[in-house]
Amino acid sequence: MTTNLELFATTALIAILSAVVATILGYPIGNWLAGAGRKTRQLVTAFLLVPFLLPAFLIGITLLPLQPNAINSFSGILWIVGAHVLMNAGFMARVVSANQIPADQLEAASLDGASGFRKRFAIELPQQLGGMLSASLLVALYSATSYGLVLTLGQGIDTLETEIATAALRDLDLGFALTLALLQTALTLCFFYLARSIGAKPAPLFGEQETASTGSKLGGVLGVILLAAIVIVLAGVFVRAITLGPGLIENFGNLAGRGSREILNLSVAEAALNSLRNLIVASLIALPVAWYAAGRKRTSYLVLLPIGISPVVFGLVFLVLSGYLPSALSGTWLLVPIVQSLFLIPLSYQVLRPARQSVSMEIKDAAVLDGAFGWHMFSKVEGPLVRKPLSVATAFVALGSLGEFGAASFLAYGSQATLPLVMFRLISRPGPENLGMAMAAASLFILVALVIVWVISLEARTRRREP
Amino acid sequence: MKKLAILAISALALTGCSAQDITLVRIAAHDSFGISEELVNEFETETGYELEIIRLGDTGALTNQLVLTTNAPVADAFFGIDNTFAGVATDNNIVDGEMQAIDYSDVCFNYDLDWFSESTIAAPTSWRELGASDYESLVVATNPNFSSPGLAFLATTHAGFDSSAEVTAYWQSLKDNDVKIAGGWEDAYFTDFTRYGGDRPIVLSYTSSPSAEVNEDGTAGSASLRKECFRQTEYAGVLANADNTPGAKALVDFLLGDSFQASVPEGMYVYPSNEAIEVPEAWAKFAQPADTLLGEGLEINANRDQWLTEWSDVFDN
Repeated sequence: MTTNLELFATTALIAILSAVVATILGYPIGNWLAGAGRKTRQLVTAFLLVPFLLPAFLIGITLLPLQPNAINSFSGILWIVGAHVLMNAGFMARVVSANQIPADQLEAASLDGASGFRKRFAIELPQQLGGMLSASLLVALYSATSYGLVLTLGQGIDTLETEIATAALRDLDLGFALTLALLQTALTLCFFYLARSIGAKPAPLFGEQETASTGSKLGGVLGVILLAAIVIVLAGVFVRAITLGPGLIENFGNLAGRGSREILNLSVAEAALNSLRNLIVASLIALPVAWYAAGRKRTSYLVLLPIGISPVVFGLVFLVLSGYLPSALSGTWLLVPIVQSLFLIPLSYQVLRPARQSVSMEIKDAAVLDGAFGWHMFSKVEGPLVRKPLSVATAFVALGSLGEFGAASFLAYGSQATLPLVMFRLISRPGPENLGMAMAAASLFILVALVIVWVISLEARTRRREP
Repeated sequence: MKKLAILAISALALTGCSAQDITLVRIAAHDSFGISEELVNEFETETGYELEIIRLGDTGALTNQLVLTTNAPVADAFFGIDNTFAGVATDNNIVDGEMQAIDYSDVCFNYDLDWFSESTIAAPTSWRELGASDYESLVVATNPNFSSPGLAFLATTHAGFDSSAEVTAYWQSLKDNDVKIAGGWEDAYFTDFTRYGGDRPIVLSYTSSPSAEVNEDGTAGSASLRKECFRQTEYAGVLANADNTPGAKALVDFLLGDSFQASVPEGMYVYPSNEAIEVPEAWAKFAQPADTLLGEGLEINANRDQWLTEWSDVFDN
């Protein structure tokens, strides 16, 4: 019997290890990226960021075929941490490369005779540390709430989230599940406290700084290895979609069906439509709320409150509440996108707030004097000015909703199941046909993510060409 | 004038709502629930209700989801809560009225006749022999934490021995004999059983399973150990707090009727509860119910947690 303390410790260990390893790898890779040419940097960064944008359960599915049949608890944790690192090291590298020290500082240090080592560790690192800690916190939070990934790769590893689901859905012990939910939330608070007390501060994710930093050979080697690992893992999904089961055409054709022996309640295509519908509703709630809150002078702590709280905890809480909600809401599909929007709001708020705050009051005042208000203000004045962060926030919300697993596993029943739920079911049931379908669906998912990354980078290029 | 129009529209809307009968009836079922299009049409034509089927996973997941949503149920009726979970349903008052037995099946081990005919090892005659060295690495069972036949077999062992210590010793002997514990019945049957390319010729399944394993020449491909089996009875009923209680009652009556009862052997590989219904010919030959049963008087609900904890201690889960 695993005790509460062991569950807490396992979850914390996985999260901290994942964040530390991702940071250790991301730092040299980020510095190498910063020193690389602009085109190389953009291309490599786009690839490195793909796993970060994919939902955690999907990373689990992409790695599952590589996992040996029998793993013990030690190797299980290693697999989970490895998957988290694959997801997040590229993100850490992006943060490091976006937070470079201005070239003139480094040139001045060189003139004063500072060595490369001294510049790196006495000048650059201390200034980058706050931003890196903040990004590490995000990785730790992400890694403490990757329920679908742990379920897929963990093979019996118990974390707070898996035990919350077991206590609530299998043992009907809601009291115990809620106790664990409190512990999961306490873990989030611990991470925030820890990050704050060691000096974490939000860092720009999308800015670029001209730097004199050249990066190290080690960074280049690690960058190439990470890039190769990502390409191999993702390409493996496409190869399996072609080679597994009845082959390419049938694997994709089967997505219109319910799997071998009809193990699904609905076809994968129907589940994808459910997910798309949830995505639209969640976006319609999350983006306007985040936009409004981001425009206020004061930081909206209320909006930020759900950040880091596990979707599993949200799922549990709303499952308990569903008996007390109006019957028009409880037991309907609407509950899933509403719950999703709760944790997507802080995500988009964090992207939109710095952008909206940076639009000068003078521009807004001038626009108001010219009669711009409401929709006009958004579409003609502020919207175009913050187009990139807005598209990034939209992409985050879209991918966040599309790949959301934890809350949906509590709230999406039968014919309302979402794409991640049916994909998980396909990989949990025997049969090459089911696995082939899961891989076909996963490859489509990856393509959608690639298109989104490409659209964001295209947006950035367009912006630069503007006068 | 405007106010009058609004009043008139409101009145129309209100009368429209109250006069309108609920025509949709929703049934929550486990994933193995099978009902043909013809039977759905027959039900809808006979009663005037439209039927929606909501599948909620295996028996345990179905029961638990219904318990967790009891104040605002996702369906009006249910099918598939069995006697291993019936106590959970009644303890949590999720059923309006009585549960009705719809079908039954007998959980027991099956073995691959072709595999044993090519082997020098004799096929087992009882589940009690499976800890013997002859059957080392030949058996696959299912995890009682996640699988209803797994739980049924765990209950069988508790009914078959006098004390918990003997039950634990039996499971330990299986573990020492390298029994494979699969996550669910489908994994055990379609991945590990030798008839589907696996390496285990003895699998925990049902007495009805051999009817699906008849060879092309009409001979049996598998057989079941029909002594001391556990009978799983599946129930249907009306859910408490249902939106459409009359529709749910009509649906349960339909499931008890001759048309549906006659469909269950081929639709779900189970025996109909109505004994007057004739089962298909192949069933009479290859899928006889168990000769003897165990565990009919077990207090499963009161003991489930304890049994699962003891079982998990043996298998380090």
